[in-house]
Order: sequence, then C-alpha cells, then structure tokens
Amino acid sequence: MQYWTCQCFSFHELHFSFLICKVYVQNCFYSCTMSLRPRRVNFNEMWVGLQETVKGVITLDNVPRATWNSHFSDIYAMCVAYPEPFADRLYQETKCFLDNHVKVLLEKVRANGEANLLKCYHQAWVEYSTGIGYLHCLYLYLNQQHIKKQKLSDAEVIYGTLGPDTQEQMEIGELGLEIWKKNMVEPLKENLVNLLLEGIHYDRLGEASPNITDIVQGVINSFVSVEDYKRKGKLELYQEIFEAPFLQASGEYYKREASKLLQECDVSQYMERVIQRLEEETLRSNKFLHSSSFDKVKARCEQHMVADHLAFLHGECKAMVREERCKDLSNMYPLLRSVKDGIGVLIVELLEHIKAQGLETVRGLKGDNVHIQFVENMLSVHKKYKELIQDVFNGDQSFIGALDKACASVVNHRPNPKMACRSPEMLAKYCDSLLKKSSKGISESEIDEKLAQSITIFKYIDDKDIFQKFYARMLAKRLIHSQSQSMDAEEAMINRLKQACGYEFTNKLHRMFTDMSVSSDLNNKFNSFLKLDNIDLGISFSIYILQAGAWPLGQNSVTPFAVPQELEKSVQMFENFYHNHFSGRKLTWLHHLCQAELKLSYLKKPYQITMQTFQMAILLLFEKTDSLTCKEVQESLQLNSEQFGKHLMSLIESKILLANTEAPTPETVLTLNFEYSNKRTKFRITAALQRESPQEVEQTLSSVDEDRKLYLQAAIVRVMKSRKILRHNALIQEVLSQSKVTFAPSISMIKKCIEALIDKQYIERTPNSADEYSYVA
Amino acid sequence: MGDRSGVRRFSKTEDTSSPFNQKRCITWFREYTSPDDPDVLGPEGMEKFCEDIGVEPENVVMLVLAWKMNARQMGFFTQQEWLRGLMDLQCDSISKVQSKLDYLRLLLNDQVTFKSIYRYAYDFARDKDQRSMDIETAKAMLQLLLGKHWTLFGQFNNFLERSKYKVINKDQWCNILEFSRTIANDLSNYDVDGAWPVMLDEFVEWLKASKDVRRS
Repeated sequence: MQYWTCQCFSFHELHFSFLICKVYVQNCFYSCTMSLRPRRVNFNEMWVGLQETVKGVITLDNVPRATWNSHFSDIYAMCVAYPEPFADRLYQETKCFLDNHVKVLLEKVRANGEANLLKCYHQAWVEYSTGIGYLHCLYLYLNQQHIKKQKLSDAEVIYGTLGPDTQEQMEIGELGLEIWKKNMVEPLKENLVNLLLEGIHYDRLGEASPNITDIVQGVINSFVSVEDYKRKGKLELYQEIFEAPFLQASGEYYKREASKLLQECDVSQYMERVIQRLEEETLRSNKFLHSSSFDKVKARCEQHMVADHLAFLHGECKAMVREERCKDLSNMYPLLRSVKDGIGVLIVELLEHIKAQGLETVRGLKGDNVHIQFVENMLSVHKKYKELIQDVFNGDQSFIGALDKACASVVNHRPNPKMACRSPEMLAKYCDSLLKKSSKGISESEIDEKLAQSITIFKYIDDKDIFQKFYARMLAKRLIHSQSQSMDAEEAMINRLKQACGYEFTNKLHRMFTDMSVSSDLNNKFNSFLKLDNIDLGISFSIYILQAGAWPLGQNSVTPFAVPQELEKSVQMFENFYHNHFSGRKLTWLHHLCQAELKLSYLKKPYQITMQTFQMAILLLFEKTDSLTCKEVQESLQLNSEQFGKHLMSLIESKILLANTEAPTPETVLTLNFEYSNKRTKFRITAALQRESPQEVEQTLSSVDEDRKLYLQAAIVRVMKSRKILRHNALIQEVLSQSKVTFAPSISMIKKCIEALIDKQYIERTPNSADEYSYVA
Repeated sequence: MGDRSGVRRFSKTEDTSSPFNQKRCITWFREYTSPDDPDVLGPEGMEKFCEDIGVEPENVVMLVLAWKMNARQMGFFTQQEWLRGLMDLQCDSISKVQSKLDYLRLLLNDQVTFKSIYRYAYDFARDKDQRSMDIETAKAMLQLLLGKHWTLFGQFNNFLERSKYKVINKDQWCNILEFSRTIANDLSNYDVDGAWPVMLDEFVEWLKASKDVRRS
C-alpha cells in the first residue's frame, strides 16, 4: 500500500490551502486502494476525460470531487501503466494543452485594447496562477514519482553549465508558470511595462486612480512569481523587463524634481522636500515593488537629489553650523550620510566651530580664579555640544570624535608657542580648590560631581605628566597641612585618575595616602610608648612619616636648623622610638613644613597662634629676654639667610615682633611687641608662606622636562633592545605610541634623546644606512 | 738644532731613489725628539719637521700624514706611528717626503679615503680627556676639511658661532660630512623629521629664517 504525502505549492498571491489538498488526497487514498496494481491503460481514452478536468481546474471551474478523484487516480494509472508507462506522453500532452491555453488567453487579453491591458492581464494571471496551483496538486503523482527523480541536483544547476537544449521536465506547477512566461509575458512585456511605469508616475504625481494600485502591484508581482520556482536567477525576468526601466525612469524623474526644487527653494526648504520625497518613495516601493528593489530605488533618489547637488548642500554647511540652526542640521545629517563623501564636510565644520567657540571662552581669562573659570567654561562648552550632537546628529560617533578633537585642541592650546600649556596646572588647581577645606558652602555631592566632571577635561590634556606633578604637590600640601575637606573625596579622585590613566600614574598618590594613615597609627603607638614609660615631653607632639620616593617634597629644600631646646627631647625620643621599630631607615626632619601652636601669655590677653616651626623657634628665643639682635637670632638657629629673612619678616609684618630698622640687618634689634593685640585670640600666621611661588612652578615644569627625557630614553632603549635594528621613522612611531598615554613628545625631543643615547653608546647608526639604528648590546 | 736645519734643507747629497732604510728613518726621527723623551715627537719637534719639509703645520697635508701614521694625538708622533706611516710611504728622508706631498694631497680627492680621514680627524683633534670635541677646534678642523668644497660652510660656521653649542660629538661630526655631500644648497631635499641630528635641524631652520629675512 502506498501512502502519499501532499506537497503544497503556494505562490505569492495565491491562497492555496493545504486543507483542500489534504482532503483530496484522503479521498484519493480511500478510492484508490482498490486499484494500485499496474495495469493496461488506454491513454487516448483516458486523456480525453482528463483534459476536460484539466481545463476546468485551470479555469477555476467547478470540478466535482468525484471527478477530481477519478482523474487523480487516472494519472497514477498512466504513470504505472503496463507494459510501458505513459508518464512522458502525459507530460507532453499536458504541456501542449497549457501552451495552447495560454496562447488563447493572450488573444483574449489583447482583445480589449491598450487601456484595459493591465486589468485584463491581471485578471487572467490571477485566474491562471490559482488554477495552476490546483493542477499541480492534481498531478501530484507525476510530479513526485516521475519528474522529481529526473531532476538535476541543485549543485549541478547552480554551478554546472546547463545547455540550451536541456529539456528537463518540470513539475506541472513550474511548467505552467514557464509557459505563462513564454507565451504571455514575453509578447506583452513592453506594453505592460510602459503602462506600469505610467501608472507609477501618476501615483508620484498624486493622480493615481484608486483601484489601479492593486493591479499594478499584481502585475509586477507576476514577473517575480513566474520565476519563483527557479533555483538560480529567480529575479532575472523581473529585473530585466521591469526593474531596470523602472530605475531608469525614476532616475529621470528625480533629476527633474531636483532641478525644479533647486530653482524654487533655499537649502532649508530643499532638504525638507527631499526628505519628504524619500519618505514617499519608501511607501511607494513598499506598495508596488519586490523587496529587492527598495534599496536600489532609494539609492537612485539619493543619487540624483543629494549626491548630484552635493556642492550646493555643502556650501550651506558652514553658515548652518555657525548659526547652530538645529532644524536644518537635523535634516542635513541624514541626507549627507546617505551618500558617499557627504558627511565629511559637516563634521569638519562642526569641529572648527566648536574649536572657535571653545577658544573664545578660555581666551583672556583674568583674576584669581582663572583656573575655575577655565575648567567650568570648557565643561559648559563640552556639555552644550555633546547635547547638540545627541539631539541633532543622533549621537553619531564621528561627530563625537570631532567634539573630542576640538576640545583637545582647545585644552592644549598654547597662547604663546614658546611657553608650556597652562591647562594641566589650572586643572590641578581646580581640583585642589574643590578638595581643600573651604567656607564656600558647596555640598559634598556637588563637589563629587564637579570632580567627576573634571576627568572629562583631564582626558583631553596632552601633558598628563605635568598635571600629575602639580596634583601631587598640591595633594602633599593638603595632606601635610591638614587642609583636605574629606579623605573619602581625596581617595575617590585618585581612583578616578587611576581609571583614566592606569596604575603607574597614581601609584605615588596612593602611597602618599597610605603614609598618612600609617603615620596616624604610628603616632598612637608613640603615645602609648610614652605613657607606658611615664615619659612627659612637656609638649604635645605629632608626626607624619613620609616615604621619600613618593612625596614631591625635594630633599634639596631641607635647610640647616638648630632644633630649639624645648623640642629637643621630643625629637630625640621619637627618633629612638622609630629606630627601634624600623632599623635601617634614615629619617630626615622637614622642619620647614612643620607647624606649631604657640601660646603667648605675656600680653593683656592670652593668644594661641598657629605658626610655622621657624617662626616659633625665633619667638622661643625671647622666652627669657625681651630683645635680641638679628645676628644673635640667626646664629642661634643656624638658619640660612633666605629662610631666616622670610620668617622674620612675617613676624614683623604681623606685628608680633618689632624691629628698630626698616630693613633687617644683622645689627637690627628685635623686641617683643608688648602692645600687640588682635580681635581673634586663636588664629594662624602661616598662610603667606604656604602659597605657591612662581619659582616653584618653574621648578615643576623644568623637572617635568627632565623626567620626560629620561622616560623617552628608557622607551627608546626598550624598543631598540627588542627590535635590534630599526629605521628612524619606525622608531619614532613606536616611541610616540608608547608615550602618548602620559604626554605628547615632539619629534625634536625624541631625536635629541636618540642622540644622547648614541653618545652614551646604547645605540648606534648602522654603518651603511642613513636612517637606521641598531642596538649596542 | 736650529742652525743645522739650514744646512740640511739645501743639501742635495740625499738620494731619493735609494731604498727605504728603517734605521735611517729612526735616526731621522731622533733629530726631532729630545733626550728626556726620545720616543715621542712633540710640538717643538713638529714645528721643526714642518719647516724641514716645507709645509705649514696647519696645512691639510699634515692631517693626511698623521692619518697615514694613525697618530693618536694632534701635535705628537710616537716612534711607532712615525715608522708606520713613513714605512707605508717608503720615505726615510726630507726629500722623499717632499716628493710624496702631492700624492698625499690627492688622497683627499677619493670619496672613501676622504671620509676615512675626516672621521679620523675627530678623534685625532679632540682633547683626549673629553669625549666630545670643543667647538673652536671643531670649527678649525671643519674649515680645514670642508672649507673649500662645501658651499654652505661659511653659513654653518656663522650658525655655530651664534648657537649655544660648546662641543660637537662624533655623531654630529660624521653627519656634517653626510650633510655636505647629500643636501642641496637650497636645502630642498632636507627632511627635518628624518634621522639627522637636531643640530643640523637647527642649522636648516636658522638658514631658512635668515634667507627669509634677507628676502624681505
């Protein structure tokens, strides 16, 4: 017993329901179980009846179920006929029938004149294509058992060469479509296509008649459906007879549209109309065309309405950007993006504009808080244009890139080419002002946010190593003089820098931080130690121990100083304590950074003054006497002239000491001012000494230069060691890419370092080449 | 020794065609050295020697001769160096040396030999305590070697004078020769980002700037 599975054939516009077929098959099954044995068949007789049914099926006539079933089994019988099967003959007869049928249809379709051609063709197609689907099912057995087996494999079809004589038999459904193509489409194609193009044209003009849409769509679809069964080149017919002329006609149309619009409109209106047109065309494509054509049509439109007139559009870009005409820009963006080389001009204009705006806001800043103005102005420019790019350009990465370039260029701008850029210093100062204790009343979360934003500016800075130096020095000051607002905020900022720049960058900062907590720990231990041994120092005493390598305090700034008697015991005790805990470490006292609180009890009111150690040392000499000469004071303390002068002047200026000459000389007599008074009884006089002097700035910048040279030399040696031999340009590139994380070296600086290394014989020029170096092992 | 030299110079008793005699060569050497230091010919001896062969001490031929001897220090010849050089030239008398002077001059015309002499000159002329040559010596040596044939030498000399360079190192020295040989007078083929030492970059910049000044 045989069991058929029904294979369904569905076309684009056809609704061949599986159900119908299934029902037929089931019926077939039941009625055919009787007659499955091959037997003798009279073909001609059988064919007469079958042909009638075929005609009925193909014309969607009413074919009774019984008739269907009986002819279904007739086909089976023919195919398994004994002694010879009639499969081929059946195929040929059917083919012949269909051929004639379509030819007749052709005449019918033509008969109603040009005007009705589309409609008649469409009607005929709908009927035929549905019918052929049913027919395909009727011929199921022939299709499955006979024709399919002869088919070439897919691979042979796609990669092999099919000769023109390959008269392969097709399944009936396919055969029907092939015949339609040959007998109906081929003869009518020109007329049909002309009418189709006309129809679409009217649709463009907005003059389409309502029911024409379905017909046009249906006809176009027939070109696709008719080849749908093909294994390769499915859209050949569609593309050749319809798509190509359609694209051509569309192109012409857009060209004309564009010219017309250009005459009537300015740029803003032009763009709006083009965008509108593009949207319309998209809808139209969806309505009429096969999906493979959508992009092609869009590309044509873009070509003729945008690409061909690029100069016109580009010409307006500059003004549009300058005036920040957002509506126009948001139209310009998609249009330019859709064509080749379109968007570049816009990106460049934006870059220049942002740069100009940025430079404007940071030029000529004056006053004490230049650093705050600089950072906040830059941030507001950045924010403004970031938002603009988000709104108008959809956050496009290329535009963000332009924003970054522009900001980097502004941030690293040098008003005077010979002097270093001031931005790193200003940014460090900005952070310093936020991290320092102040009475400004900004909330903690606001400070946190501002610090987070400052990283945006930090990322643009080229000379990050200069920033690091300034930041480190300011941090050191804050920590030593207890000026930090919040240790958490300090640590958070260091972490942000680490995220932006890596561990190396913040290593020292972290160490400075840990020193602070270690020191406080040590202080506690020291105090317990004193208590334990019942030692009384006479003064209260606390210490910061700093790792020499991590703090930017400079060993050279330590000056000679004779520790006052009142402090001697403490200093000694602590040194003993420390050396007992940590042997092998050298302690260097940094008295010039220390401060003390001194109580003055010889005046009408007692005063508690916080002052620098040297200032205190000077005053302590007056413990037992009211006046001394400068010479005596300086000799007692063994301070150098610079330190002595500075601290003495500050005491004189604050009126605590009186001098009997205008300018202090060794013979000047200093006396305590017994008439001294101050509104406040508790205050400090260290401020002036802590402010950063211009020499310190100079020092920082020149030490940066030295560090950079060492860094570059180390980088060059590293590169040369691994590559052994390298050309000049390649070496420069390697060094540039390695160092760009921290700063942007000039080629001249790199060359100087190369020369220094040649001189030190780490590398040499290769003997025969002008610009090649080799590593000297 | 001064009187005897006059007699020597005009003596025609020496035969320039006699074969080289090492002993004679050394004896001749001894005429220029002093008993305290018999193996080294010093500045005084050098002066006399130059007088005898009729060449000024600053003449470039002396440099070529020193190069032949591979003399280590300018102004001095050791006996070993003397012998080495003169044996190579097959000279053991004044007249023989005089006959070789043209040959020595001609050596400067060969590119490869000249380069060798030029490079030798650096180590020869510099102060052995220092690694680099001081600028004054450098200018003098450059004048000697490149003054006649390098068009831009005068400019380079001016540049050095105005610059803050106090010494010239070997790398710069060698590159100056390369520069003089490969770079056009209008500096059109000079690549400022190339492997030239920074000193030459600065020279080119200076030259271009001064040309602009002159033009305007």
